[in-house]
Amino acid sequence: MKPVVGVVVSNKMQKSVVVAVDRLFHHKIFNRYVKRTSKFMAHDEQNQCNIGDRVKLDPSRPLSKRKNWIVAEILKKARIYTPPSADSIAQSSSITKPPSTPST
Amino acid sequence: MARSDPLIIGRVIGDVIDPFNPSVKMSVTYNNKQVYNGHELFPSSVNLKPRVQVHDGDLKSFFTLIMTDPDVPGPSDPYLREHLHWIVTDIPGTTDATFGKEIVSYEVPRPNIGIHRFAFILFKQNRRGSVVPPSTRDRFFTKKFAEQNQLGLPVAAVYYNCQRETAARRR
Repeated sequence: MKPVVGVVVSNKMQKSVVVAVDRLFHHKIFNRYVKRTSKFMAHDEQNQCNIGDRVKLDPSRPLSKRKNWIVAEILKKARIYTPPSADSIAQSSSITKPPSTPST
Repeated sequence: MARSDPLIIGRVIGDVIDPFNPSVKMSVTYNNKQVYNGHELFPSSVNLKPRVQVHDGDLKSFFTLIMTDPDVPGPSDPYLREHLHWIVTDIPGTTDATFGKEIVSYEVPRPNIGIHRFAFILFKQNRRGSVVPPSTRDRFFTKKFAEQNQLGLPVAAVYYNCQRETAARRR
């Protein structure tokens, strides 16, 4: 069976994620390759998926009304931007600030 | 067994039994409706005990049938796994479960939380009358039970899904 690989687009649920899976198919009339996206709900037992993670899905029995897939593995973790904290900003500004000369 | 086998996808192999090669043909029928792997049946349609037929073997070979639910109380956290629903032993080959000895009576499936799997597992016995009934239905382990009674690996298995029937569904 062809592996189903997609990107996590939502992880707001407990132990569940929504995964967007892209597929290409050849359009006979337009003679072009067209991209279509399917969204699947998948079971994430450890709650370890983040938005943007590239994951591999395995088919499973119906786990709920719309959930028939399990996250088999996380192929690539998303790079999450963490904004610098206030302390680090203060430290960096004190280092870069030139020494003030006394005004006469 | 292929990865696409419904017993593997449905995690019956793994949660309930070990991988095996089916060597006997078994059919399970609820009021003239045959059970297929992964199909959904409503609790109202499984009130009466099913007709379980063993199509292979001969009258000198005996089989044990176990019906169990690995998803109690709910599939997301089955900490009471498994719940035993039915055991019939000494079923002669080429006959059905009515010819066997019912050592644990049939309990009607009443799934409360989520979608439950109900698995029918068929084992081949070494000799007649060799199976001892378990002390309780709760926290039943099919693998351990088979080991204790020298039943070996299963020879056939089938399962169906069942979930609570709400008022809206019944209308």
